[in-house]
Amino acid sequence: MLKTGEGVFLYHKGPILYDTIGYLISELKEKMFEAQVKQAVYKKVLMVMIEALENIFKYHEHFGHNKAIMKSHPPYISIIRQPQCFIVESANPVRKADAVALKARLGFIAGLDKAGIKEMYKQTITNGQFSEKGGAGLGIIEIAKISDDALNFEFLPIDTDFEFYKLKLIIKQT
Amino acid sequence: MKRLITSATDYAPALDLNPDNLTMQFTGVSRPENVGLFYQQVIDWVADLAEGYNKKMPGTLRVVFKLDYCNSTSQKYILIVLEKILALKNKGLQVVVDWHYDEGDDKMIEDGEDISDAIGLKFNFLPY
Repeated sequence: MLKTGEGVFLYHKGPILYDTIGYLISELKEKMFEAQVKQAVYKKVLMVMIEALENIFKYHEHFGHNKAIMKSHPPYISIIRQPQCFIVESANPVRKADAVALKARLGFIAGLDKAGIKEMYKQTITNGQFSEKGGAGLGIIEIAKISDDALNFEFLPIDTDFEFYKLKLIIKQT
Repeated sequence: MKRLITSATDYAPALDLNPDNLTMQFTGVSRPENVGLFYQQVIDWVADLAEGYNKKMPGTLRVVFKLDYCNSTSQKYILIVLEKILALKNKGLQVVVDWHYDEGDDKMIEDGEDISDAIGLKFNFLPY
């Protein structure tokens, strides 16, 4: 039997724009307060959610106008609360051309231990480089820093141009 | 040079950059829609300070962060701001960083520790 606040804690499917992120932050804060989740756990879930949503938002322009893809594979985020942990899952279409580098990066980060992730964070935050969209290249590293388990990711085929990128991770409640 | 004061929003921290007592305060949350544009005003302020700094001014610059959360891109810009500030050390200016955190918020402590470690500057960690 689920306790109060267990099960699907927060779920959003559909376009993720800048204001959507603000709305979801408010909703998460409210639900965490109601469920009396520890501050330390709440902040970890919050930061993972923000980084995941900002990543989806960054690539919205690639797929947001594509009605067929938005209907068959809309982006989503789900936060599920279990007795011992939160499971955060995000998904969005990515262009195949972008997926190649993303897979390599995720695979590399998923193979690092916590010390390796810290070192990569240090290298990336001090490299002074930003993507053409203004990204710092730290989002996935930040998520990996917080995750209490290895990053779990997969890419599912959509069509000749897009794949569906799913990322799942665990944050312990203890 | 002018004092720069901005109000906090749901996305960006309040800024209070004061050249008279040499304090820089960042309060609130940090995930501006255009992070680069937001922090550029801070970088410009530091550049003005570097240009106008003289020995008659206070000898210590105090940088105060009281953030509820900051996204990863903000963290990178905060590091860049601190790098610019540390360059003022060759003008004889001492730099002190106070990193406030909500007690029990391990994430904000860790963020501060990671930025401190990356830049090689010891922060004062202060619970509130």
